Amino acid sequence: MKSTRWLTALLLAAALGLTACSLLAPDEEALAPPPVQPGTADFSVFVALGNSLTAGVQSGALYESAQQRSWAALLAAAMDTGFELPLIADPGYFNWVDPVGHLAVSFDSTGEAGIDPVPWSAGEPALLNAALPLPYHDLGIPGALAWDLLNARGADDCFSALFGGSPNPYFDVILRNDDIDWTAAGAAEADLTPLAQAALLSPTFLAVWIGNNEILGAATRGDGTPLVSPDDFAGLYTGLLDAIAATMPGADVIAANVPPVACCPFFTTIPWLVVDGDHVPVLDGAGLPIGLLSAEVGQLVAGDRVLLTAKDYMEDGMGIPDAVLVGFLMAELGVDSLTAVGVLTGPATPFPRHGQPLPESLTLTASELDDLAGAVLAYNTVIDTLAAARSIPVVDIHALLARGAAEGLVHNGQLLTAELVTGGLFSLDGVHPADLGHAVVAEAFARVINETWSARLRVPEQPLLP
Amino acid sequence: MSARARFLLLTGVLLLIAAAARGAGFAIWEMGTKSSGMGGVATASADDPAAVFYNPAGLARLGRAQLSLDLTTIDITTEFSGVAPHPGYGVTEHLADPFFVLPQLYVAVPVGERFALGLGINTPYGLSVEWAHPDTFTGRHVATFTDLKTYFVSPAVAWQATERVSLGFSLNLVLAEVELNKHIVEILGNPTEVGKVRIRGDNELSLGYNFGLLVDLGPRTTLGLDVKSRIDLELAGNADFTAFTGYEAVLPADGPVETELPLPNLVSLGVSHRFGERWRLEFNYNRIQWSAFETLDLHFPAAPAADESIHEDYTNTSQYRLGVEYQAAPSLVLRAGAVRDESPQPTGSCGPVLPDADRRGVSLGASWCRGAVTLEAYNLFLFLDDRAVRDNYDGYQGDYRSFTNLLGAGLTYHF
Repeated sequence: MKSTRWLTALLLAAALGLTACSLLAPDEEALAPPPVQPGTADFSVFVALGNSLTAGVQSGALYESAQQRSWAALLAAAMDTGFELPLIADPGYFNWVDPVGHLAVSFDSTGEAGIDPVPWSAGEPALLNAALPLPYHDLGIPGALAWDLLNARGADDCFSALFGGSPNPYFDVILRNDDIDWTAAGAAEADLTPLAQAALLSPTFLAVWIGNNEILGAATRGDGTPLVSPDDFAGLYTGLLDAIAATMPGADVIAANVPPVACCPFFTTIPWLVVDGDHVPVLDGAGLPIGLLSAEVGQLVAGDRVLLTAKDYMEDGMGIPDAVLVGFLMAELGVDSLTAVGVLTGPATPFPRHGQPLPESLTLTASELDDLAGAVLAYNTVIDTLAAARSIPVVDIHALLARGAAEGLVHNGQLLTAELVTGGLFSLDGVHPADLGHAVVAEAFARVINETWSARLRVPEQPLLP
Repeated sequence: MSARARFLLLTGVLLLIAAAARGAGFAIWEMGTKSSGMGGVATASADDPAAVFYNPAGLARLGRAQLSLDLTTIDITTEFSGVAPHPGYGVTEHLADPFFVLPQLYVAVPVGERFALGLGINTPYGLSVEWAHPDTFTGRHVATFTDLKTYFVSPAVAWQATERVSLGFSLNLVLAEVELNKHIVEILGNPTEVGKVRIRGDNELSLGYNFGLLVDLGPRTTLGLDVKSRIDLELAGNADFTAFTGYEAVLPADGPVETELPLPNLVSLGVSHRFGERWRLEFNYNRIQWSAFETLDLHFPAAPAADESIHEDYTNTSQYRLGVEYQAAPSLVLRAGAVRDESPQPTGSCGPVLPDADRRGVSLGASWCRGAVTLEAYNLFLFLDDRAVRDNYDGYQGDYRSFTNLLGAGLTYHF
């Protein structure tokens, strides 16, 4: 029975093999992120001062899930430092009147894409950590100008309230001067400006990115003159950097410049000419494109821009010459021109704003755009010069986004472009970065920090998946 | 309102990136129990009916008609740990407990003094990568479940040309099935999961061949050569899209899809030598022309805008196999072997479809014969090198650790 013994041995060997398999199998083991190397910088208290870009506004609103993915929050995570944000419950406030939150893409029954605000489903979105006894580390306030960082204490005394007659509630929400007496936290006064709130935190590292709204505020209402002239901006920026040096002597400071206006999809998505539903230009009898009607210049020409906010009006026929609409209705409904004119002018017309030119507030002419581009360059010269005099490095967001608009930016193998909706760099409002745009900005900050302070920051995960 | 709708300036021009497939180092060499116990060497011996696969020239030397049935089981363990930027540190993933049984059937029949005929049915290429928890798997935008099955039917003929030289040839008739599954993520402002897709296809019939040569250099030493031709699988099937609520309009209609997958050229060179009465040693060197797998092109005849070319960028690889055989008793042979098998896959295409890596393996095997029946068994442990992927084309970065256990048994009947 020798052979039986061998068979037993064989079966034993097989059993051992199975055991060995489970013994040798790798264990699930998570990788730890590489430790933060601060170099010569100290990231223990990081504060970010700025506007909606620093706050993390996306798709027209400030809301928690976007705030957590703002460049400042990502950078703080890379620094592995605590970072309190004025978190507003999703979906945030699209405006301060209607009960709706941030914009979202939705599709109607015909498959047509639309961009509309998300209704509130759980009541008024709350400020989630309103009772925090110290100022927020993210002191980005949507709508803020350089003037506001130095002077504003609330909705009613911010720049837009004093000089434009429109109070900005974000100053109340984020500064909380109505709710908190800052003397209890050691401040000299009960009400504090953004700058003074930053100083109260005694930051070891401060990022300041300001100057965008001075230009964008004009551009988004079709105006070519910045809200603050470059000369005035130079004075304000000097005051800002001097105040930072005086009140936050322990802070290393990094600044960022102003990106180009013309690259935002807010100004590039709607073309200056009449196009059909397939985005193909409609041509006139001579085979030439047809410029949209404009109150400012009669008819737009190449180089002029139509603002994204014109979309709703244009769907009502605004800006499209009547002759084009009549021709379109004839082809679409299969009627003669007389009937088409009747349809167009009748009470049930699908184009109630037919024949009306686009108002000045919905267009930027080429020359206005040139003026704004010049202002951006002047602002950035101010920022570069004043920062350099104080050895403050400047993150060149202008070059980054200009490249993003021209050729796209590659992020983790994915090409991001400045296209509205599908590009990935910009959120649905066409002005503020989307998640991946914020990741790109955070990486640009990290690169400059790493170079300047010999640090090694790695911007953390920015999931490709929702 | 259709008139108005046609003037909408923001129509959803959402180009669809359909499915990503990544075939890979998907060869399965363990197509015979005896060879597998010796680290996969057989090119210079080919002394059982599995010669149809390893070197058909060996069929001419078998002497008697033989039939063998082999079963190989494959147990794969793969663990993934993520890094930034995606899916991030702290993320771990693993495969759904994959366990496969692959059968092989071989017949060899001598015809006259110098000729032999053979037939093999086996599955030398295939893969199945199924991630646990597909709906939350962090790489689901790349793949959740990928499956390739091939079935080879190989009639063979062999000729003992001279006392020292034999030649063999087999024809490979190949049927294949492929299935790819993934979730579809589109940028709608931010990345948004809009649905999933399943692509399934098969081929009509693909052809290849296998040529073998055995030369006795002396009474104890044999040289073997085996050449397997490239086979291009032309696969056609259907893409089935399932939209998540609200995103029905983003996905295209279900429709046909076509792709091509190469099974590469392979050249195997082996030398076998007997030491004394009981020992035999064999070494095989295999060279595989994986560079044929440059891209995987998915073509959607009904929606050419969704066509996709996925970079694979495979490189040619070598396998080094060493096996030893010991006649422990008149009815018992013990075997052992070692394998070094290079992965053709660059880190760029190493991802959820197939996380491949260089392998080292050790094997044990044994045969026990009684009368006309031989029973065989083997166990091969394949240790895949840990793989740190930081430049994956799909942006899925992290470390892979894998281990594969192959266990098999076979029965050969000598007529």
